[in-house]
Amino acid sequence: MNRAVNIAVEDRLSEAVLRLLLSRAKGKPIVSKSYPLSKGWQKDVGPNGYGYIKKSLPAFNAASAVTPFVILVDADNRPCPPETIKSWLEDEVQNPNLVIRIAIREVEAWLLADRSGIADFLAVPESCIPLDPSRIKDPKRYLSRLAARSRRREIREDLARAPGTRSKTGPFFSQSLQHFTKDLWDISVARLHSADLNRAILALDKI
Amino acid sequence: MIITRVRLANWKNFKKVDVNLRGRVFVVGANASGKSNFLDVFRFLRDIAKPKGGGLQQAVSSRGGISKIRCLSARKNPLVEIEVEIGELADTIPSFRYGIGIRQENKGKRRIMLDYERVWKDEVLILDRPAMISEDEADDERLTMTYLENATTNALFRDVADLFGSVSYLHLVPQLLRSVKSAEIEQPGEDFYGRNFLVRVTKTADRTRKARLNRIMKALENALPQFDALKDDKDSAGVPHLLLRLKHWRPDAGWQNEEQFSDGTIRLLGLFWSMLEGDTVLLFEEPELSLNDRIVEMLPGLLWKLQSSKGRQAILTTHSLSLLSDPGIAAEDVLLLENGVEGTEIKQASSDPEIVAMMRAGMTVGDAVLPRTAPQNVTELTL
Ligand SMILES: Nc1ncnc2c1ncn2[C@@H]1O[C@H](COP(=O)(O)OP(=O)(O)O)[C@@H](O)[C@H]1O
Ligand SMILES: [Mg+2]
Repeated sequence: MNRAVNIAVEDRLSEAVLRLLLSRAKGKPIVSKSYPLSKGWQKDVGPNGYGYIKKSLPAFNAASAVTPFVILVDADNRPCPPETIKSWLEDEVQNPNLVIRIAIREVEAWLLADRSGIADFLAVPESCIPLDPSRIKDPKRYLSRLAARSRRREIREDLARAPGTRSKTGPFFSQSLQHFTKDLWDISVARLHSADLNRAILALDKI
Repeated sequence: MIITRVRLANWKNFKKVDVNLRGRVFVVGANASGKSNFLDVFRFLRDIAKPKGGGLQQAVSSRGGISKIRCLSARKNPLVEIEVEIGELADTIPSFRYGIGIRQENKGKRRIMLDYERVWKDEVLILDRPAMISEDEADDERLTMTYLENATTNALFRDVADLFGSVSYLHLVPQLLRSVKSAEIEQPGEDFYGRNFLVRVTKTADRTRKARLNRIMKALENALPQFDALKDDKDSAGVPHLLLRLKHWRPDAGWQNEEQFSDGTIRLLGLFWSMLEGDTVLLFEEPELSLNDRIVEMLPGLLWKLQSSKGRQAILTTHSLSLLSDPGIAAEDVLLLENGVEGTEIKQASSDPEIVAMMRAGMTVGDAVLPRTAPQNVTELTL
């Protein structure tokens, strides 16, 4: 019997990444519920999902006694060692069924780690993609800027911010990369170029 | 082509507006700040330009006369003015500019008259009534009609007339859709409040309708967990119906019609249908109503695709944080309605330094903008 797990993520792209990783993990756990259900939940905890997860961690920890929880957070350059996570749990003991995985910057860096895959998808030269994507400071912005150099107009328009406008990404950024994640992302290549992704894959294999 | 700029004077609660529009426009503001009044500008232009039953007189009278349109706080008897620019893309030199000034005579027949009607093509003035048209000077009855509303007189700016004529408005009120009886469906009016939506579906040519319903079915399979099948039909009295079958029902439970649909199902159907229709400018009133947040979140991306691949402009009003949390929405895409010294003002969120600063620090436009539209003293709301 495959195990059912709940997941908690910061945004829809992280969700697509985590779902894919779980579908390839040894135990093939089945995702039962995904938190947060909507962005609306994050209203009172600021602009990013990080705050939401931090605030909800004690609740997820408690619920993981019923169903295991797998949580994916972007560290966004913040120092985010396991001790920090422990402090989010306040005085609770971490349930062994609570699995927390951290992308050193953002999950976008994990997508960039499949260098030839993402280069093909974005229609940019592979040489534009660093050998160690976890060193990129702001992977979202990096991806969006890469897309601006694409040979394909659709990629430029969907993923890159329109010239002269204020937004972090293009209007179809998340959806487009979710599609890449589901159908094109090669994790066997990506794990070779991303130590944190590799650690996440090994941890998910143990569920 | 899309509408790239709107200027207004004395239109409803707006004394003065001058704002740029892009392919997707998210109109946000507190309750009663004039979001619907803003959308009504485009419907008004549509009502003038539409091929059947259009015209300036009809457009004004269907709104209850000029006193309902003209800004109440404006000085006595001012002009109501609308000017729009139309271009291939936002932030480029417009292909056309169309402007009218409307007033009511203050004595005599108290006719609704054009004070002026002007058209620029590639920034060159090609029509200026009455100044350039000697017949207008001789016979002022001509000024009760626009050149826009007549196929002979709008030949030089047909693109403008076509664009205005293709404005569609979606504000499905499920209760109306369910309750309207057959006798009422004959009434004119193209707005999507209720039964007209079903009439529009059934009036569509067979093949097109089937193709659209098929595409909607595919989308519904993901959006409605128990969805099984969808079709349309007419009952013995000729009243159009949509029929839906859900899974896990007894086999003989059969089809349910729109009277039994949930509000969310009705609104989703209307939303998808209008996106598939050929209209160029789509107006949506709070598309998030009755829809699950997971679907609402995806609307900005869907509308973008509609814009970039099919050239359709979408202008919508919203209060939804889920909708505005998409990091791909630019501050330029958001129009913020706020009270200023001159009544309600409209500006692009990108022109507000505070919003821009917050977005630079990584906030989505929803988090940066929506708190401003929230009632400030909501904690004191008691009944
Ligand atoms: N001719 C007018 N002059 C001034 N204000 C008007 C006029 N017509 C309507 N209004 C005002 O506009 C407001 C309603 O605007 P509306 O577009 O329905 O708001 P929203 O859609 O943002 O909730 C009301 O406060 C109403 O008093
Ligand atoms: Mg309204």
